[in-house]
Amino acid sequence: MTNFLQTLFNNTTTRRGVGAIIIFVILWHIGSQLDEWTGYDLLGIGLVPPPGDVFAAFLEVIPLHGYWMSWVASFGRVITGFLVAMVIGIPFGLLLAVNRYFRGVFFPPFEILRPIPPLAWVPASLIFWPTNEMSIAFVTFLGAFFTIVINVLGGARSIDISYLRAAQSMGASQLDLFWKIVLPGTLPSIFTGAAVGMGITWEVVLAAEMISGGGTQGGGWPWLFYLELLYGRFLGTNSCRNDFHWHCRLSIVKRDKKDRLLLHALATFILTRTRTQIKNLKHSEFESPEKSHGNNKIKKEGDKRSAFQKSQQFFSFLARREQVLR
Amino acid sequence: MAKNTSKVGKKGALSIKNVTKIYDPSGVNVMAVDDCSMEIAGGEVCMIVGPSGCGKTTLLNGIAGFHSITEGTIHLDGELLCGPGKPKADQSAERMVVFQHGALFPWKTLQENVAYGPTVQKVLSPAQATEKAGQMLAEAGLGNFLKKYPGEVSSGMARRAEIVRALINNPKVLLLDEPYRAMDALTKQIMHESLLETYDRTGVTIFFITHDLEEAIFLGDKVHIVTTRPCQLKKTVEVKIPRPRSYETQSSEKFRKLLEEVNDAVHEEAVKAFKAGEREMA
Repeated sequence: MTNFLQTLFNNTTTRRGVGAIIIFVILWHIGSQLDEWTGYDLLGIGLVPPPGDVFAAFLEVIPLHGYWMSWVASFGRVITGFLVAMVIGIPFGLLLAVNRYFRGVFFPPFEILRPIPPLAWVPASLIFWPTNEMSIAFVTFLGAFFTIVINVLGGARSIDISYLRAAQSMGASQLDLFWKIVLPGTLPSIFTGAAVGMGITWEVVLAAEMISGGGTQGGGWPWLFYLELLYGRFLGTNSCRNDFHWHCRLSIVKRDKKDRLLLHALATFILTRTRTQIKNLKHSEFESPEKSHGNNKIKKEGDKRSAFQKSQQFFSFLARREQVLR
Repeated sequence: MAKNTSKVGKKGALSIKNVTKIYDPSGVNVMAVDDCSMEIAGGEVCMIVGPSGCGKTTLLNGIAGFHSITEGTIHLDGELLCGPGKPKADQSAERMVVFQHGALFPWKTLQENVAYGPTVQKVLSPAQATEKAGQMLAEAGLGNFLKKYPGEVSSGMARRAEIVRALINNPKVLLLDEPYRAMDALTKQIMHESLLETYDRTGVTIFFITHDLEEAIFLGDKVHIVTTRPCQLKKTVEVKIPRPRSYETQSSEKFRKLLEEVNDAVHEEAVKAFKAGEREMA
């Protein structure tokens, strides 16, 4: 083991890499603390907590059951979406490649659907499928499906025609050609498609979980986690947990027409929130110009309060909507 | 030598009569082969020499059954391959092609590649085919590379294996499309000797397309010089150098004279092809 570590660190590339990461963390720390040290706020990074705080928060999260449950849940969704995409995508791509008529019929609609970003499917997916889990799995499926199909199709179409001719000359039947030449010839592209598809699946699954409100059994964690961090931990409060639990219960409720109203509510909320933000901005600009230029601490506390209020606003809004629905 | 002569005239006689091929890719008719005729006796090594892009490969594709022909007939041992009413020949193991860029399946080892033909035709059981493939590869000097993939061996070895893969099917005709094109001179020499050795052993008819005039004379019984597009037979040069030939043959007076004769004919066509190319570009 020590021997392994020694060889690892004797490697210039490794040392350079480790050094680069250390420098990055130091720059991050300086960037996030610059405000306190000098009073000058760096755009963007000035709002980010220092690396030490983030690491401490991470340690706090690790023992929590829900954190690991969220791993399991996301992993399950990714695997489901990915496997279904492979099972449907590979034969579909191969069929597109080998059969002219199949391609003529299915390729044009495929090409119309393909450019739609997977995340744009989230609202439609929430309405299509009876449970949250299925909606998320569907969106992750879409993330991988189109990439896999395009790779398989491209790979199968670019097989050297000499291979097919040689095999045919040697007496291979159409079925032999497919199983012994087209399929192995496409395998490299299948693996490329799978690798890229898997990456997209992980990107999509978190976003889908956030937008759809997560799911059940602690599976709503990423969403909960993000909001909790955003409104609770980062900005100094930690008490909206009850609201989140209430929110999770809401997602368990079996889906029906109510969900369309819920979606509508969500959209309305986002709109109103943006509007409020714009209003607040004008407000502070006109009414208290000295505040924004003055003491930084006062400004920060003001932000905390308003962000917390906004999250409260959101959940009371949802609660009201729920009462209306009932 | 004795083995070879006994097989001459027995099988693999190709008769190409008035073959014309017109491509019609996008409404623009391109005549690749125009009224081309040649007779190839069974067991003969027939070399086709002509400028690039003149339609030699088109002719080969017609014989192999990869393309249809527009007019004319091609017979193999008196049997019609393609002609009026049957524009495209059936692809069959009696006419095996060795491709310009190599077409060993990269996902199979050399042995699996060679065993593929007999296995898929079900003339041998997979175990028998594998054994025979191993034997034939060993005969070609590839006994130590049976389990290697085509990507792991040199291009010369891959070419030899590809010729073995063709020969295991007992073809009547071996169609080679510039198989040694991208090879250095030294490897080429080895390849030529290996091919001649194989030919002396099997006596298969060889239809060989090349740009290399020395190669053409060294290997061939006849050198057919074809014109620039559309491809027509311009001149046939008989190579009356006895077999088995060795590499020293190439420095003989006879060889040099033949080379001059072929060179004159080909050079004229090459100039024509170049001018035609200039016209097309302008």
